[in-house]
Formats: sequence, structure tokens, C-alpha cells
Amino acid sequence: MPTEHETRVDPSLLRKLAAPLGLTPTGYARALELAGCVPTAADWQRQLSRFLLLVGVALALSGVAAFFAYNWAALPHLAKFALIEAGIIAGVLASAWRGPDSPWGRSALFAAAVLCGILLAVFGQTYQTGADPYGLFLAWLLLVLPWALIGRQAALWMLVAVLANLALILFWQQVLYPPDDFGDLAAMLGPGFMLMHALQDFRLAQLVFALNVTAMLGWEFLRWRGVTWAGGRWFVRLLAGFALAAMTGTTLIVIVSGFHGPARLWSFGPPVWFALFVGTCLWFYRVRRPDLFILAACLLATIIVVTALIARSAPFDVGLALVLALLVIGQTAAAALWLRKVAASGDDSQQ
Amino acid sequence: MRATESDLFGLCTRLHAEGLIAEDWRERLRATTSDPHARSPWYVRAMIGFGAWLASLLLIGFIFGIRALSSSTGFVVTGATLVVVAVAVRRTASNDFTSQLALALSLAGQGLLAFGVAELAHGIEPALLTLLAVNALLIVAYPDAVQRVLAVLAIAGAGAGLLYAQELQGLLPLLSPGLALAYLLLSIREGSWRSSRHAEPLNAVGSGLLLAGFGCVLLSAIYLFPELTAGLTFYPRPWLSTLAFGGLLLVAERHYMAPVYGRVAPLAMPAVYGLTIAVTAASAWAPGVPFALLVVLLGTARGDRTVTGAGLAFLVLFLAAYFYGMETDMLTKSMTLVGTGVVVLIARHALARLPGRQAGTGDA
Repeated sequence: MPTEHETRVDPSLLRKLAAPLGLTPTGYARALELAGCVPTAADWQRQLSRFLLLVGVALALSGVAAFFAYNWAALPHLAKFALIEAGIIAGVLASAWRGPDSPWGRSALFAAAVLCGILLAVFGQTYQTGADPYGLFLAWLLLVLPWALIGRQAALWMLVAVLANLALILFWQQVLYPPDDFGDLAAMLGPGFMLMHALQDFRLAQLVFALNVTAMLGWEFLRWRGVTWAGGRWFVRLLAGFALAAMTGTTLIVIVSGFHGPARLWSFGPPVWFALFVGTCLWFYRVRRPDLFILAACLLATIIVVTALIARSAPFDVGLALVLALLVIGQTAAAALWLRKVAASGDDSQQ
Repeated sequence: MRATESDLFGLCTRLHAEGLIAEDWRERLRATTSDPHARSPWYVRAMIGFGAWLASLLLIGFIFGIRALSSSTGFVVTGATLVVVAVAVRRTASNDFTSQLALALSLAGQGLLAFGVAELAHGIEPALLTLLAVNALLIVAYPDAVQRVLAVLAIAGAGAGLLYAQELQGLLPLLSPGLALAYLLLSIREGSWRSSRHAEPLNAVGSGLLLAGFGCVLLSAIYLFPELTAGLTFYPRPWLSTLAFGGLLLVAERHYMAPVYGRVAPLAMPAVYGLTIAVTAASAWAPGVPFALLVVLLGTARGDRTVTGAGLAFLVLFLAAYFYGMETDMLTKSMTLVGTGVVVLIARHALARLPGRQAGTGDA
């Protein structure tokens, strides 16, 4: 019997390979033992202790949060503000103490940034000035922007991006072009429906697109200049997703509603921007800075738009559905083959 | 830690020396580590899956268009045909696109079949029985993990639906423990099936049992306004489920922990059993708690972090749903939570101070 673990092998790998490798039942148990996957007494003690600590602390903290929720209405205004501001100050001090580049420092600063939004919400709830909600997101954005500049973390910039998009959409809807009754209904159904309805205004959709593309360009510029904290991929993927969603949605609306409506210059924008954006991304993220995620998203959007275009242009016939199905199969297969080729070439700069 | 092939190689060499692995293990190892499908990232597979689902919906639209679905019999025939075609497609090709296409066709076929049966029989029970039977067959005949998981979920869902339809919801508290018992048996006997040709289907069935168990026991935490239930008891006697889960938890502790942890101290396992009984008693109306603890224990014992994480996530979800639905004020909830948390921390402290040899000195 071994007295120490001889081979470090992942348990999930063993589970996957047990049958293909032809392990006997005893062999499987022995493999787990040799690989150190069977918990020892010390492992059990440690796991039990850790679990009870986690559960105990989580229950107690939840109880404290529930207690505050119970007494929230009875708390004086200043006490509410003091509590939240204490959280913000604690977050900033913790970040300064541990360093904004450390995991704890980054988490503390992000938590402080989120608490800023909560503070503004409580402020707005306490002093009912009748201000439009876009003001909350705009103020939140302005407050956290300096932290994003000095924080050097993608998570804060993601928060800034989300707030900027929300502030723009809400400003457009609440100040410039209030929605019709259908828009009010969409707002009642939830934020997702509200956003989808808002982007039916082509001018707004193109502004959202421009905002996110500008942010993408800025981020790629930072990466090109070798800024290390801008090396992560998920922020630029998020921005690409926002931009692509805005233009794909409005392009589909243009295709479905046709060009029969009143001639508006704005209606021609989405398909043009869509084509330009997808074409540029397919080149840039294949040749200059390979990124499978953005390539896959662009190809998916293209499949959807091309299929919708053909469905709209072709005469309506029962065979059309079969033709479209075959078309989708062909496009998806071609896209998959190309993406596999890109992946196999090893160029993908995944992180 | 990700294993390298050389680690695997060393392990297999050792197993071969002990006669516990196939003779041609080198060729098998080479074959398994060069699977091209393993290289595609999840978002590429998601894109392919989306395309497959879109194509399936268009194909189904074509079927609607050619008026194959003009009668209840048409629904049944078309549904059954789609399921058979899906099985055939999946058995012949295994790339991402065809597997998603086949899955979409299978689900659409089952939906049409169930709808047609319900229309023909003028009732929901025959449709649920049909779904139950079809999914039982699919577990055997359809070689795909996702479909098998969904099949187990469908069987559990159809079973629960039948209980409600027959006004036998008094048996519902035994459904999730039944699923948990099946999962526990699979776990205990893992060595015998993991190396067999039934490994893949049973692995998927296990995942399905777990998810189905979560879903069924979550029913006990749903709060419905009395006006909506019209006198129907949604989940009667949840303490029955709790009792059953408590028993299963004790069995699992006896099987997995006792042989090893019992050596820490003479009172180690009695303390664990006592804690289990106390938790079971305290959560009489919250059966999700002992179930989640069972899942966490099984995941830890088998080194399966996904299962452990699922158990923890379910514990959080269940407690959140349970406390949200509790018909008491926030102050009582707050006191209950804090009190329970303190008791758990005291129990942790007590377990760490048990008299006897400490586990840190190692086990024989």
C-alpha cells in the first residue's frame, strides 16, 4: 500500500478514461487511490471543517443582512447613508492597503464601485426629487470613472461600459424621445424587453453601436501599446457583443420591415454598419489578433442575417422552409470548418 | 491540477504491472488523447448548436407546411417519425452539428407525439405515460449524454405529473428520495460500471437523477398563494422526504467516511452521525438541506468538484427559496439564520476538539 500519493491525475480524467483504457473495477478503484483522489482522514477533517465554517458564516451573515432589511425602514436617513459610505470607504482603504493590482485589492475596489450605485439609489429613494432614472446611471458612471482609470482592471471598465450604455439608452428614451404606449408595456415586461424595444429606434441603435465600437478601439489601442492590465479578452468580447447585438437586431428589423416605409437615411445605416463591422472583425480577429469567440459571434450573426434576407426576398412557398434549413446547415458547416481550421492553426490568443 | 500525459502514462504503467488494465492500454491511451472534437471551445460548439437548432426549427416548419400535422394521428405519426430519425442520425454521426440537430428533432418529435396522444385520448395521463415510455427507450437507444440527462428529467417530470393527475401527490415526498437512492447506489457501485461499456449512459443517467432530484425537492420550497392552489396540497408532508434523505446521508457517511475518518477519534463518527440526526430534525420542513448535504458528501468522496459545487449551489438556492417563502416576518427569519449559523460554528468547534488521535498525523 502506498504511503503517499504517487501520481497526480485529475479525477474527472480518470472517470472519462476508465472504460476506454479497459480498467477493471478493481483497477479503477486502485487508479483513484494511486492518483490521490480518495480522501484521507485529514482530507475529510479539513473539508468538514471548511464546509461548516462556510455554511455557519454564510448563515450568520445572511441573518445580519435580513436584520438590516427588517430595520431598514426604521433607520434614520443619515444612518443608511453612513452604513453604505462606510462600506465604500472600507473598500477603498482595503484596496489601497492590499494594492489595486492584488486580487483582494481589485475585489475591494470593485465592491466599493458597486456600493456607489447603491448609495445613489438610496439617495434617490430618500429624497424624491422626480429626477429621471438615467441620472442615477450617469452619476454612477462619473463617480466610478476615476477608479476605473486608476484601478487598472477590466471588471471596472466592464461596469463603466454597462453604465454608459444604460445611461445613453435611458437618456434617449426619457429625455429626448419618450416611448409610446408599446414602449411603456415593454418596460413593464422587464429590462430585456425594454432594451429590445428601445433599439428599434435606429438612431439610438447606431449610437449604442458607435459607443461600443469606440470603446473597443480604445481597448485594442491600449493592448497594442502593451498595457499589461488591458491584456484580458473578455472585456473586448463583451463590447463586441453589445455592438453586434445592436446592429444585428436593427438589420433584421430593416430586412423584415422592408424598405417600404418612409425613406429615412437612418434605415440604411444598420445593414451598412453591420457589414463593415463584421468584415473588419473577421479580418482583424483572424489576421492581426486571433480571437475565436469574436469570429464565432460574427459568423453566427452573419448566418442569421443572410438567412433572414433570403427568407424575405424569396417568394413565400412551403418549400422555402426546406431550402432555408439546408442553407443554414450549409452555412453552419462551412463556419464550423473554418473555425476549426483557425483553432487547429494554434493562432487563437485565448486567455 | 491538469494531468499531463506522462502522469497518465506512469499511472497506467503501474496499473499494468498489477494486471489491472487492458494489455493494449498504450494504443488506447493514444487514441483517447487525440480526439479532435475535444479541441473546440464551448462558444464554437454553441454557435454550431444554434445553427443546428435553427435548421431543425425550419425543417419542422416545412413539416407543418406540407400539412403532415392536420390531425391528431398526424401529430403522433410525425412525432414518432422524428424521434426515430433523430435516433438514426445520432447513431450514425457524432459531430457537434448532427448531435444538436438530432437532439432538436428528438425533442420536437416527443412534443408532437405527446400532443397527438393527448388529443386522441382526450387526457393528459396517456401523454405523460407516452413520454415516460419514450424517454425510457431513449436512454437505451440514443447514444448522447445530453439526451439521456433530459430523458431522466422527462421521466421524473412525467412521473410527478402523473401523481398530481391521479391525486396521489401524497407519494411525491418519496419521489426525490427515490431518485437520490438511485444516485447513491450508482455512486457506491461506481467501480463496477465505470469501466464497463455502460459507463457513458450510466454517467448521464446519474447526472439526470441528480438534476431531477433537485427539481423535485425544490417543489417543497415553492410558496403558492392559497387562492391559486384551490385546496390542493402542493407538496404534502415534506418531513417524509427529510427523513428519507437523512437516512441516505447516514448510509453514505457509513460507506465513505467511517472507514477513514472514523480513525481520527473514537467519537469522530458518532459525532458526525449525531450532527446529521440533529440537522435532519432541524430541517424537517426543508428536505433540500439533507439532500444538498448528501450531494456535497458524495462529490467530496468521489473527488468530483462539479457534484460538490452543484450540492453547494443547490443548498444556497434551496435555503434562499425556503426563507423567501417562509410565512414569518424578517426579524424571525433573521434570528433563525443567525442562530443556525452560530450553532453550526459551535458544532465545527466541537468536532475539531474531539479527544483522540488527530487526522493530521496521517491514516494507515
